[in-house]
Amino acid sequence: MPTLLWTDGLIFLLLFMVVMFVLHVRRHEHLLRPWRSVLRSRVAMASAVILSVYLVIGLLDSLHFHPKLDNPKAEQAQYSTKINSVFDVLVSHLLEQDEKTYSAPFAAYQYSKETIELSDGSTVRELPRLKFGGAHLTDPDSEKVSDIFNRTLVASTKALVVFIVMIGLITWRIAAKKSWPFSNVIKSILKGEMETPWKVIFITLGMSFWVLIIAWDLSHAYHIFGTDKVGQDVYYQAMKSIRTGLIIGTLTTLVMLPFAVLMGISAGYFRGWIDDVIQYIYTTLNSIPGVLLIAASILMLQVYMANHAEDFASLAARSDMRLLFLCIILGVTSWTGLCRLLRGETMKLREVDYIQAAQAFGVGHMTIILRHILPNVMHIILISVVIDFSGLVLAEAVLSYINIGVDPSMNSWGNMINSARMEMAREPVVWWALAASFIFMFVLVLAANLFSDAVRDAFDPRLREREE
Amino acid sequence: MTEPLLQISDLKVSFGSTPAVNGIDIIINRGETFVLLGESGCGKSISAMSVMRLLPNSATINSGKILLDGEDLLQLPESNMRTIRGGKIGMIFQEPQTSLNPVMSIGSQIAESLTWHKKLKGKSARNRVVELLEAVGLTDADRRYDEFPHQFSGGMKQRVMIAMALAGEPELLIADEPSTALDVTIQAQVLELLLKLQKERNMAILFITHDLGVASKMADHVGVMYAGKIVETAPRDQFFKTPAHAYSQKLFAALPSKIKRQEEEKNLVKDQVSDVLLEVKNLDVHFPIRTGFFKKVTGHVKAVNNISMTLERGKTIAMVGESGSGKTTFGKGVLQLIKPTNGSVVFDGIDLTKLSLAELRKRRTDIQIVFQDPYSSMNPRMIISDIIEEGMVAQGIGKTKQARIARVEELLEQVGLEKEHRLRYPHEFSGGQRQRICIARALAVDPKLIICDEPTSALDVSVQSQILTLLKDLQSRLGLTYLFITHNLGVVEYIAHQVAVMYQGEIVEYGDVEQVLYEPKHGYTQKLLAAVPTIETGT
Repeated sequence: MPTLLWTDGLIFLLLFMVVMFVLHVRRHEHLLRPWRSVLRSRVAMASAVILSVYLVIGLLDSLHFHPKLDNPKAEQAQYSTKINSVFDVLVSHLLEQDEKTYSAPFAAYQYSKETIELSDGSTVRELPRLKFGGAHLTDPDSEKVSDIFNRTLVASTKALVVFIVMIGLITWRIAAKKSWPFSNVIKSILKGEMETPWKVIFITLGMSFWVLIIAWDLSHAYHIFGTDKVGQDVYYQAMKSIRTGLIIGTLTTLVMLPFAVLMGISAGYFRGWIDDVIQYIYTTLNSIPGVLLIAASILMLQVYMANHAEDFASLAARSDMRLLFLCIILGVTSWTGLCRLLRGETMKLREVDYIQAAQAFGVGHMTIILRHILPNVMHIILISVVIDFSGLVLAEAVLSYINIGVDPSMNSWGNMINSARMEMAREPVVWWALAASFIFMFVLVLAANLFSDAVRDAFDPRLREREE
Repeated sequence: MTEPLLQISDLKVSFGSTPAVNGIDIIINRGETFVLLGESGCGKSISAMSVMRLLPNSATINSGKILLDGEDLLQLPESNMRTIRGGKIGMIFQEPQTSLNPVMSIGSQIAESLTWHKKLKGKSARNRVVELLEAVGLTDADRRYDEFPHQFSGGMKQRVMIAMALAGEPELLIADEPSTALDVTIQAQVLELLLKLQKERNMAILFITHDLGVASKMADHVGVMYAGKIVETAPRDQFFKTPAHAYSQKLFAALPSKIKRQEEEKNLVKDQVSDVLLEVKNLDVHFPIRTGFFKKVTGHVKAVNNISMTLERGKTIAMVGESGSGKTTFGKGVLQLIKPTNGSVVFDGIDLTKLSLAELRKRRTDIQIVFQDPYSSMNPRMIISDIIEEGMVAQGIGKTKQARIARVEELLEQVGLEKEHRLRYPHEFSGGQRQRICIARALAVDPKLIICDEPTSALDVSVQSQILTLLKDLQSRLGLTYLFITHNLGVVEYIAHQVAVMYQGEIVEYGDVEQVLYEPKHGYTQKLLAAVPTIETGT
């Protein structure tokens, strides 16, 4: 039975808005122009591919449902109170391969010694074999390396096949669209003569598929990022955290934008007492430490949820509520920067001749704001949204680290880092949870930053003039 | 004849594959002024910058020689170039506001150059700077040494710039439109100063300008530049008497003047009934000065002070004045974009200052405005059709979309553009075309009065005359009335019936064109007229 969590709904609403925006942009030449230069940038397209891999995983993880219970006696279908996502089904093998406790990446043995009772009644302390990791090997010490190598080779072949099929499909699409012969398209892509850097896109796509398929194949036989304290697969946790990171990065912006845009533009356009009020609001809000506000509201939410336990059917619904609340409170505390930028830009714009001309025509204030000011500050909004994204993903990690972030039961990079605090103090060190969350977060933030750089360059009027 | 100081031969500069300067030759002798005349984008500034070797990175010098005293500047290493810049060659830029560092006192900015080129330090450097400041005509130079750029007016700043350029005792001074950003009276002073300094120091000047009047005042030789080439070089007298090249002749023909206007007016029948369209009585626009935490009003800036005037239907009045004289504020006050403090603006029998906002909005069709800068007066994110249509939609003119489109197309043709231009964006048009679109936009709501706020001063001379002709033509066809704000007296002669001279927010002289321009009564008007650089053919 499909179910819609609050954040799921909002993330799909956001996706819908983005699609509408893209359709709108495609119809307007002047809006399309800066995006074309983003499409032409190699770095931007490579990071866009990485971002979309993350996005697909995040979206698959946002399609939630209650799994059906196997109960032959019941007449009507019965559903579990547990909530699963489509992504969980895809990687179900990871969910089922729980170990007892810590194990290192690609290990066949547990990380800590255990007392094992032998059949003759005596006990020894040794490293027990894992239930799943490398369980198919008879002698892990001698076979493991060659087994991993073989599996990688097989996976690489699969990746190559997928890669070729995909290139073929895309090239065929381009050829059909441009009505060029297929071979010509291939040639100009390889020579880098196309406007869009297809070669770079293909290479990045190929690399991502290669990594994904190898990870997929190996994860059936090993814990590629090890297991955590309760034996859960760290690779699975890191993948599940993608959705949390994406939601924090995007929904916060959705919350923030109306405040920032509305207040910033009205302050700059109307000036006078409206400007004074808005300025006082954001200077006041700015002078309260953000962490304090966030901590206070999260604590309030916890009290509320404890008192109204009946409203939250499942653990997932509860942690989802907390995530949404975190987005809202992050949004409420972070709109001031953009608001200030927009106020300044609007103040500059309202003195520009075309706004004065519109006033001389007797055009109403709302129309002037919507037709003249908003489109001319759109680039600022866009740039700041894209730049804020990576900052927010990192903010989540910091907040979870001090325990006011997302629910501890929810998978997130912040929670992984938080628990790694204890693991780093162990001897020998358990490093893989930290490493996994670091790698996943690093790749996402780096891709987002590179992409936002390209967007900023494309929309920055000063750079554009030089180009022309 | 002695060897020339600067000799440029076959200089070619290009940006990527587009040539900017296409093989020019210039020879300047000591103590002479060579005026490089041309419209914007013809490559004159690029030529000057190549002499200094200060071209932007995207430009490359493809060929040519620049000989200064027989030494090829293009072959010198960069370290030697630094002693030449500011030492042998001084440079003055167009915009004095941005050429000075706002956080350094002007004295120390000049001293910087002295320390580098003349190895002067401390007291002796200071004394030299004071001497230089006195030479460029700054009084009380010793005190002003420690002042900062914001304490100086535009003309003063340009004097400081000249002092700075003179610090290294250059043999060649490059002046890139040094007087364009200044008011006429200040311009006259700066030009006078340059001539005086040139005589004293026997400097050569490479003077860049687009203004024929200025060229006539400064030049020994004139080179006319067009599309990266010098199309004509001639001694001053010969050039102004008999310009040889077709392009030079076109420049002369484009100058708006009285003679041209009289020729045109012969063809017009004067049968207009004189009735007053606009009557301004005792108009004040004061801006309050607020200080302190509670923003208490402590005084007023009297931008427009007690102005009265009347304007007849179908006539043009020109408001003339220097920057800061309140002409634009007056225009916006008439339009009610700025609420006047006192007085009345009676338009067609109705006092606009007494109308409520809603009533005013309905009357917005009657008065329209055309701005100075054609680049900032259109929303870059709207197509031309939407820009022109905006007023019609706001005022409910043209019931259907089709009717409005038909009207837009008609307007575009009326201002000399094509129907198809309707679907383009503003950036696809040149400055002159944009100004035509702005005029079409103003015409869209059938106004009776158009306020033209320096509509031609951002345009090149040849384009300027086209726009003026268009405005005159529209006036005679549609019976429009213009309130024409300008600082260019040549334009006034061409287009206006009446003139009001504004000075510090007040009208100091007001009357018919002939009377004000040829028999000015007020001292300020006389000063203003005397300052205009005119082309004198004899010497």
